[in-house]
Amino acid sequence: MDWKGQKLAEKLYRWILVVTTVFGFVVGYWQEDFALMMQILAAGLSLACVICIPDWPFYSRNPIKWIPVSKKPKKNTD
Amino acid sequence: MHSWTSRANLLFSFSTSCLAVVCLLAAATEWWHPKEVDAHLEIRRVETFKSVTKGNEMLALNMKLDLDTSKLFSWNTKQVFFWLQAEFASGRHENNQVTFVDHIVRSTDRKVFREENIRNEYPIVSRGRALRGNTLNVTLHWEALPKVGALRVGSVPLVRGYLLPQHYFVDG
Repeated sequence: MDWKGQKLAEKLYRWILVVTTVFGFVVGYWQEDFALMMQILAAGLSLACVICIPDWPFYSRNPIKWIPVSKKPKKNTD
Repeated sequence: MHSWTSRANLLFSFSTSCLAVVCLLAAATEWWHPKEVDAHLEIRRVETFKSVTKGNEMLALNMKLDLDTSKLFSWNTKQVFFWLQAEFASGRHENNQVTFVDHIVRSTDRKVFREENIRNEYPIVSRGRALRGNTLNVTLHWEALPKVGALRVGSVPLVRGYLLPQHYFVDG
């Protein structure tokens, strides 16, 4: 993963978890079902884990540009 | 964020914070659920009233109970515990309290009780001989146990000034 990929992964898991939490609470309260709310939260957590934890290829689209190896001869420290 | 383990750590920490927020919200919704209970108790008669060993007295009652606990339940209620308590004054103490019926109602159980003939589950025992000709008050106490949040309690007076017999007897 490169830097932009890490930022993307963090943004993704935060959004997924917050949206799932709000959605879960609203649906749970409306349906008067506490267990349903917990199930929605668990589903959101699983989704966030699958999307954000493994090193998927779309996280490595901006590879780090390393400075090329210098051609200067090594300095002697004599 | 360099490794998958540190990502996993951050993700699970954040999800725990989300869980805490959701539990706070669920606990807060209890404000909009006023709890009340419909209860009527009629003491039909005294079945047994006798003296027992060590200078104490025992009372067995036959009662009719109408109890509706359904309004005590909300989406956040796990179970309700209620008990019936007999109160009387004696020479030694101003207020004696004896629990004679108790029950746990789970959120999936039957919530309405219409019992025509019930006896007290636990004997009403008075230390000393203060019950003859005394008056009895009966109160219902309930506790609603939430899934998350604060315990709610309440009580309802059911019977006031029930007069007990002057003499011991066993009716059965």
